Amino acid sequence: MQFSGNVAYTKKREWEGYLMPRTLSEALSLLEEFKGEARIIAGGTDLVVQNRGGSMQTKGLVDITRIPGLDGITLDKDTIRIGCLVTHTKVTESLLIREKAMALSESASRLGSPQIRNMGTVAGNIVNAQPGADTTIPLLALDASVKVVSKGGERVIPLTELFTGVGKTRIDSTREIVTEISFPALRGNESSASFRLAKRRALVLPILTVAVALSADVKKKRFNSARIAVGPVAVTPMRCTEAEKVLAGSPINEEIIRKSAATAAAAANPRTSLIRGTKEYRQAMVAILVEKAIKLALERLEGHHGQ
Amino acid sequence: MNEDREKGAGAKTDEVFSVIGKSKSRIDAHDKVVGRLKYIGDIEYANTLHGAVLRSPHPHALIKKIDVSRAEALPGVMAVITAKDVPGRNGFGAILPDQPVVCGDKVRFVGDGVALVAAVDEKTAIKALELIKVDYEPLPALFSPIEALAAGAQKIHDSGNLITTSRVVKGDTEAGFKDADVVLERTYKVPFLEHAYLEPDATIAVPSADGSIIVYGPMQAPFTVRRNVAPVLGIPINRVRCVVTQPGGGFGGKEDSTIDTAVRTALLAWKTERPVRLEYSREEIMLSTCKRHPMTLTCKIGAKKDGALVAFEGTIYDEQGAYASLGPVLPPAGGVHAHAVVMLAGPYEIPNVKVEGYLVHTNHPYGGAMRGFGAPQANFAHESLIDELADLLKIDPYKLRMKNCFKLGSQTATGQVLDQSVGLRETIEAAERAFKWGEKRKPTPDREKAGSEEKRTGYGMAIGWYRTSIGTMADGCGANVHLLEDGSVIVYQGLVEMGQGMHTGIAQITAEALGVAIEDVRIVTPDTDSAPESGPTVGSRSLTLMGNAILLAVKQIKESLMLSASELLEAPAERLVARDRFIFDREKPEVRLELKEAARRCMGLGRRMMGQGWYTPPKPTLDPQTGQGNPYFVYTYATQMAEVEVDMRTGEAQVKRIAAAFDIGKAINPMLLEGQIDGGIGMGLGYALMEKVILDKGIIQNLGLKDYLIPTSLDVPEISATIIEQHNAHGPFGAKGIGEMPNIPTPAAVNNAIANAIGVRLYELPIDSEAIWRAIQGVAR
Amino acid sequence: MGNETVKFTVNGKGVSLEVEPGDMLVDVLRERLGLTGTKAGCREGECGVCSVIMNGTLVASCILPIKKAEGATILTIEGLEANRELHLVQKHFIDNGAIQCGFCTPAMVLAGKALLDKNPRPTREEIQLAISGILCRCTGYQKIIKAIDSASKSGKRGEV
Repeated sequence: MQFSGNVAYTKKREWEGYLMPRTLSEALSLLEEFKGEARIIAGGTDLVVQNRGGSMQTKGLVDITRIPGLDGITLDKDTIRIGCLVTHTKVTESLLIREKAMALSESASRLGSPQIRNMGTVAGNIVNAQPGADTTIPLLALDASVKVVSKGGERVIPLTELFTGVGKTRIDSTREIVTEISFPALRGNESSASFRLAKRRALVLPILTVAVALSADVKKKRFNSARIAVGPVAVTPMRCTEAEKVLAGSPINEEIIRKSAATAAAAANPRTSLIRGTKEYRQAMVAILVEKAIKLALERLEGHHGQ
Repeated sequence: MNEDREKGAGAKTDEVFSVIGKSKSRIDAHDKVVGRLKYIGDIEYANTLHGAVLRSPHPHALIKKIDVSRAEALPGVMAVITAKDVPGRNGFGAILPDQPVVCGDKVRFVGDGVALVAAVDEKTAIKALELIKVDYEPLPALFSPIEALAAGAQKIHDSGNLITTSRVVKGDTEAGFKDADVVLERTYKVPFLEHAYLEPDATIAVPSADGSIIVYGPMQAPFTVRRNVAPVLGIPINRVRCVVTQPGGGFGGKEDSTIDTAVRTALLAWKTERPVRLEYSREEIMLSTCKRHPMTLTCKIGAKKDGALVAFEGTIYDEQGAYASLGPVLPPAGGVHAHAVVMLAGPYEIPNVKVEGYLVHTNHPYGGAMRGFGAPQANFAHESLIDELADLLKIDPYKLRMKNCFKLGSQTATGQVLDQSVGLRETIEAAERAFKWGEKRKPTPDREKAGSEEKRTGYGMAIGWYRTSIGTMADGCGANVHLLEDGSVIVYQGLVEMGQGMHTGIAQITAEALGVAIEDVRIVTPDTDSAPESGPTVGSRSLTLMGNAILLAVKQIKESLMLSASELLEAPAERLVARDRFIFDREKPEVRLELKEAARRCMGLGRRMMGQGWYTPPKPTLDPQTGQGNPYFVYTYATQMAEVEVDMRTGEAQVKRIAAAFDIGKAINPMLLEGQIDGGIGMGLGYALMEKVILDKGIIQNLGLKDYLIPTSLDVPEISATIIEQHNAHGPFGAKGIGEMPNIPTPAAVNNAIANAIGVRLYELPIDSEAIWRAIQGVAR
Repeated sequence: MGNETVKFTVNGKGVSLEVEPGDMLVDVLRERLGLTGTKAGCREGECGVCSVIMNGTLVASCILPIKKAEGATILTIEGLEANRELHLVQKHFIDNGAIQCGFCTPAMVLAGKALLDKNPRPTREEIQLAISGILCRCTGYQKIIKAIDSASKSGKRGEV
């Protein structure tokens, strides 16, 4: 894309309508009225920035943050449910998430800045669909799904089937609303961990985020199974299924862990970025961070504090 | 934070002062902390138009045709200006007026201004930009000094791509190297940096019916702005009034960027006959305003086995970018380039020195003033080099530096004898004590032996020196001080408070000298209509030079004041002391009166109650052929030591601790001084670890604060600073400058600490985690 | 669609304004209400000088669409002073030299207050974290951290 040289932007956004419905059905009706020219906004921390300078201008915004009942974090039998209005801050403050989904708690605490975490939502992070999306990656490792509601009904889409490209999902934000994220709560023999590599310690996009959720028999020193998610190493957040197979059923030892980490790195396909680093480095870091995450998850299992 | 103060030999600081040396709250603290201080963005003028600049998308191109007709026809557009519309000189610049206000025949970097628009609102102005059609014919673009100096390279300016060369030649380096036991040569590279002041650039220009104009803006150099606006409009300088609004950070950038916005805003105001506001977005600031000069510095050092330095050679390729800004030499020793060349050999006694520098145009954004003005680049090179030399000689870097560094009576690379105020060794010793270098630092390991530990800690140091003031012939400044009949004081002067605390400092100096309280002193906002010529607020010159000017001014007032007081007290004037709002007899302190009584008497008898001080420092000398002379009249010295922990697997480096020591002559206000130290070191850490303007084919890839990374609160460790006071005979109460010194030795201190941790040397900034990882792995990029 | 009215409370006073859908809170505060203490440094939520406290939490007002302020309680720097008496955090900023150019000061002070309201005795790390979303180029953060720390230890009770 030819750089135009013009980087003067208006302070206002060029929106024609900003609406705040009180119910989901009202929200869906408003979207319908706009005939595809309005989209859902929650925290807006990505959307409002993207709308600066006309790259993604929408005509109408349907703000769902006044709809009650969408901001809870609950344990529903064995499933953790996170409402679509739950902010990153709320996740970091949640004891339930710390106890039952530590990787998500950690990742939420590292994203952006306190202000961004106070405003932005976990659901928004998913829908924005960046390959390195901070809270999306641990949710991928936690085998999460989203419930999507539209005029036609509702459906549940696992995150593994959700992403179709950079910034693209199977959700049409001009017609549909993510209302909830859910994933199985980690059980007694399961734990999770996440790591982030970045060029400074706040207000920065990651060079790499890695999350691992695993199940192991500590006494028998054997992995049962694992889920490993990394990004940005492809056009979408990625599960390293081959690396997961290396751990499944294997004994817990340094060699297996390193082999899994190397397998994850081999599957990663980061490009060389002038801003984030070369392909070589980013790929090497996948192995390092996956190894660290596996080891920390194991430590947590052994120590029983936070999963 | 520990703060120690040590009095060096020759210090005249056993005097007890009333406000000097006290950590007084800054005089503008209240207004800032309640959010009431008005910056340029907070000021509104009635009937103001919005300005916008059309910018080139090409790094180098001829302009074949500009069609503004559709923009002019847009309702709400009040003026569109191209080169043919400029009434006076279509050029501006801090040293050479080589940058077009609006480009007529060609553009020289991405972001170069091609047209100006004034419209009734922001939206219309920006829409108008889209309607201007420019036909460009791209030219070959040059992106490095080497490319630009190649035979047959496209000329960026008619005068050629090589702007100037500078040199320092002392002794015989060839003989020196022959005599050396060890010779080490290395090349260092440092990138473009962005000032990233938090307050965006903006200007308001208000025209008057009589053809004169007022320009408001966050200028570091209102007199420089004034002498640029006048010729662009084709009016005499006395018709331009520049009123400073306090900059929300400057760091040298607003010395230059405010000329850019001022000439463009003034032009639009002149054309439309209405007030115009021009405000740059953060992206525009990054795209188009001046940067820190990138440099490639090749240095060769020779030493005897025992560590005595015998020879130093250096070559600097200094990338100026598209326009001259503050790069070229301002005789004898002003300008970034000359300064870097003079500083490159470092604060060491070296008998044979040869430095050659080349300042070269490229089709990149241009280098201007940025905190340190060439010294940070030079320091990174010489302090990394001497540290590597220490490893080679198997001498502790601390000891090697102590052995060779400047002391009283040393001769510099330019042949200058440092005959006063040299506290460098004291800063090294003080930093060592605070840091416990001797206890903590282990010799640098070989890379192979760096082991498989996950984290390793390294300790590194760097020393530095920095001039006070700018080394040009025109380095004076003036102050008009008025004592009013109630004992309050007004000071008119033209140097700018931009956070560094300078106005508070000169208020303290005024208060001490006159005998009033700091609360009695009002420093008037710098305004070229009321302030005497003061030069720019740069080069760490302000407190020292203006302090001296004020002392001269106050002397004049005190003649009348003491005369009146002696009459009232019936005591000889020579015995009287003014202090803390009272005047008293030194020998009989109970014989006293309130200062304002004496002031009232002066007023009643028509005695002079104003003083004027004009101060110029000792004249600089520097032979252009040999680089020999006394380029700057006094130097501040510093040492910094850094403890850095490196993750050996990811390459992440975390600075755990910094200990620093500064010889600043006299701390006028220790708390504000510490603030400068903290902030400067923070900036130095950014240079060391994360800052770089990333360019690809002439286009900046990381526009905006999202991807141009400066340190956050989580990136800066605790800093301990010790203050050394080696009295400066040419400074008010012995003071010399501080503004820039703190950010100069930091990158090398961090680089040396990393080397000490991982056993590998790095030669390029910024040192990010990938660079460290590659060094550890031994894999080139 | 088009212009609408939004009602919220700023610094204890109710306001009712006609706004455009694309207006951001920072500009409404600065240009419509004359509260210029809140600054704009980057307009993409990356520098923090636009931070205000909304419904008790620190937010980036430059990326906050104005309609989100409907019914909200907003505190800007101008609202801290009460009866010409400075807030505790403000006093400690002055006394500890935590102000240089002042451009980030309103945001830093509000971040300090927001922290102490929730966590009256923060550690140094917690203070660093609380201000980690506001960039400062002048101070190196040292004295800002010290000021908030010293305010927290000042022994004052009641509303911070």
